[in-house]
Amino acid sequence: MAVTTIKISNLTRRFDQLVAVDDVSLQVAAGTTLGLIGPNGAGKTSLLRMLATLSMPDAGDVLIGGRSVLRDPRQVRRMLGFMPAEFGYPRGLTIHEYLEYFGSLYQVPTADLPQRIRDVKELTDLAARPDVAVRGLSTGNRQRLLLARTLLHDPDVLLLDEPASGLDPRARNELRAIIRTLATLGKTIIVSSHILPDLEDVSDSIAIMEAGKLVVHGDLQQLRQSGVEAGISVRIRVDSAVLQQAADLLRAIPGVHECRIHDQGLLVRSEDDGGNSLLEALIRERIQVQEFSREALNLEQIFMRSTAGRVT
Amino acid sequence: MKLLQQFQMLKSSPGYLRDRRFLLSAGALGLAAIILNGALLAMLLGLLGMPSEVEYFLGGARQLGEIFSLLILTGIFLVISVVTPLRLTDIFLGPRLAGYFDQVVLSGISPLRFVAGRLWSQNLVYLVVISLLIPWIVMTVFLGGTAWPIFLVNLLLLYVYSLMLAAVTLWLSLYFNELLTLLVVISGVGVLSLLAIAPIPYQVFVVTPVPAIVYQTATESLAMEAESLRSFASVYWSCLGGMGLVTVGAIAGIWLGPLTVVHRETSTFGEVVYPGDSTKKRWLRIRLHARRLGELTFFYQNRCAVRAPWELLFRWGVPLAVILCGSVIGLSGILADYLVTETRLQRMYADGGRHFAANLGYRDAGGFLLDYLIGIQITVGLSTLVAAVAFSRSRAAAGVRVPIGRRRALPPLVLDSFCFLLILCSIGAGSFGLVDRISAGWLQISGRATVMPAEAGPMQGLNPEPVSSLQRVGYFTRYQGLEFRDMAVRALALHLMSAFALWACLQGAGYFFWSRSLTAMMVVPAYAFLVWLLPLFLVMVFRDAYFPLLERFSWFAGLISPLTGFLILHRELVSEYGTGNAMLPFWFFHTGICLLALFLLRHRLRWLQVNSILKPVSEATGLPPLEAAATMAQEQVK
Repeated sequence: MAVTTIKISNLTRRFDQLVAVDDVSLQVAAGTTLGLIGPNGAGKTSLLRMLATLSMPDAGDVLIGGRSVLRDPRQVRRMLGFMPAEFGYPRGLTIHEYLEYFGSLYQVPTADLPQRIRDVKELTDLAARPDVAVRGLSTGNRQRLLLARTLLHDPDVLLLDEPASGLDPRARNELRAIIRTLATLGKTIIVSSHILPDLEDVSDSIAIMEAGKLVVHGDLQQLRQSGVEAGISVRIRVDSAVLQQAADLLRAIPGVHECRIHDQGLLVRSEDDGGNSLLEALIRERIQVQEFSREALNLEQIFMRSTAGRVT
Repeated sequence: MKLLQQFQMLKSSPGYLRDRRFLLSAGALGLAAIILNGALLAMLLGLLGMPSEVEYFLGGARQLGEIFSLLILTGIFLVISVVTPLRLTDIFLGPRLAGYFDQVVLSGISPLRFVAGRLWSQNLVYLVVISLLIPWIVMTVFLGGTAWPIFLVNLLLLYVYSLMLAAVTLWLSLYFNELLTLLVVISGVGVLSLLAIAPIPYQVFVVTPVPAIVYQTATESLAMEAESLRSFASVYWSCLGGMGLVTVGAIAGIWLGPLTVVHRETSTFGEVVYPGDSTKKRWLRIRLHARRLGELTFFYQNRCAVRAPWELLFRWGVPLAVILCGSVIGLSGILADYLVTETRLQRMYADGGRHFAANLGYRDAGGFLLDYLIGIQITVGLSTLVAAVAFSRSRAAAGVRVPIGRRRALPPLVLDSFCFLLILCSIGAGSFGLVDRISAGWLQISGRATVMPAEAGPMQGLNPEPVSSLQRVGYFTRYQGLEFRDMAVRALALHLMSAFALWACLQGAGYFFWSRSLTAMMVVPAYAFLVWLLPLFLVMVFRDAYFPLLERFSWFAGLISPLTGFLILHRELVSEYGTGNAMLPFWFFHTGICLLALFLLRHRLRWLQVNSILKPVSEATGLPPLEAAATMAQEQVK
């Protein structure tokens, strides 16, 4: 069982004038999955490359399993499996030869290599497929193969950069299942993507980046319940005749950030954690409340609320 | 047991696994068979097509088997010379362009193990080549006339050559792209093969098997006197030793990795990116050699960490050590050769000098001293040229400092200049000492000869040997006085070349010429043409022209060229320039452009420092640029 924690402290990366990653600090607990979200140009790949020891930070440090990517990069590499966004491969190899090549590159013992290849093929659903040339593989199968290669040396930490990019819905679903399986094996995983439903399904926590900055980081369940700010979101259903009156009433209450009419009901964001003040106000005005439920945000709503569309 | 493990490691190396799959595929074998047999058939048909020339060169009485064995050896040599660079040049560039080099880095595999597999697979190549030639070898057996021991040891030599070529190709692939490596290796092999069979006194080019392959045929066909030639064993062992040394050197070079230490990463997303790159086509954006930190770390971090604290200094010192060692070995070889010859000469003079010419072969009395002068000049010239090229590569573009000890860090430019000066001084002193030693020895021998003119004998027709020797001694002692001035001219010229190359790199010429090495290579011919050749050409053209004004200007322009300086020093242009202080204008002019080069370099470095390095740091830290620079320097020292 892996026990590798990732600790990122004040990480900064500049490319000339451009600040790709700006003072990012976060922590990923051992055996959990972090979804790294951000629009194109947010700095996700730059961050992952620094974590993978492929790029040097201008400031800050990353500790993976207690080892610094700056001072001990070789040891860090042994714990890492990095799946890049682009699929590069040596020319002229079949699936098996490709895995054999990378197994040898990762110095998997010769005696263990055949079994290891069988295992990763099984895990990534490649075992039943014919051993065809890599060049002719579909995008979905390429991503599977890329993931299989990443797992060959059995790393504790997986950094997956846009793994679902270019995949159809079925392939994305299968990929999510694979990531969930990996999580059950105790791997510490960081998955970057801008396809939010994919991450919602597999992440224990999320980090949202925008213009190089980390704008949100936290446990996914908590964020869904509370949104990105403190307080709650509630859905209130009242009689349609008094809908506008109820909306005006609630807007006047201190601590209510937002109140809009939606689908013959009201969507309210309030600082009041329990929503008691809202309910009291409605009852006081003798407005009959048909439904009062706490709304859980989905990842897209969290993302939209936390970002402003800035890019670096 | 450990050896077995190493062997297993080679066999399980990724490069070997991949090459084995390709080399043993039906397609590759078929193609190799066609190429190899086609080449041999073409050579055979060529020989059959010109029987009279063949008879003239190879002799009529020669048996067909001997010609066949020569053909087979030459065929193997040619095929290996072409196939090896073709299949190995992409070892580093291939993964970079295909986009999986990062995975190679992340795998933690050491550079040597990564390369070892492909080096090991060269055995397969050789095995395939030999297997495909079996019918030809069988045919040679039946035709008769082959010297089998020589044929078999030559096959062994070709095997070593095959490994050497593989190691050298892999090493050069660190620095050049596929096409350039291919050109350098194939043309290099061609030139070295020709030089290796040339009758030159200091045969340092025995790094191909060609002298051993052609030995038997050449000695018999050209009817050379046996005493004027070295034995086959001597030629064979020189080739084997030479190739072995080069192989070890190339493997050491791979182990060291690219000696471009001080680089700051300028890239992201898989390739090096510079401002303005987005407007270029993709193939123009590709940088030839490994430059990104992610790529360079492959050679730095993925190997044993024992010397990690000294890594930077170690890498800085390697070019210096290699150049100095090369120079020392060259000059020592000349000295050793002279000492052996001197003993022999003294004995011959004591015997009356009757066998003077015969025993020394082509190094007769007339050319004796000149050979040594040429040898020293070549060694010194090559060392300084290599030093100039090695140190003109811009390793200082980012202004990073190299830590020297605990508290000091120096800019690479200062270290480069110091190393370069050290090289010039040491090889200059070495060559001066050598000239001094040889001229003193020669004076002693020829002094003895003048006492016994009758015994020395008229060896050069009407020109008695002692007189000739004395003339050479005069030249030699004059040369001795020139040595320092020669060195100074050369040093200044090479320093200038180096400075301009560096300046061009800093100007951004590297972006257009794709790499800094290539920029340096472009600057060298430009400098050589504009400053060395063109002024001298003007002198030569206008010296006899009847344009008084031009003639006067050309005389003045000629002073710019270091070549003119050399000619004046060696009294070949005395009439135009006179003697005495004739070199003064040269020194004035070159000091002037040296100062200009320094000014340009300083200006450019300051601009780069302020705009590329200090500005972002200053913005990030909120400190003024100078304080930011001081903070950076302190951090680097730490």
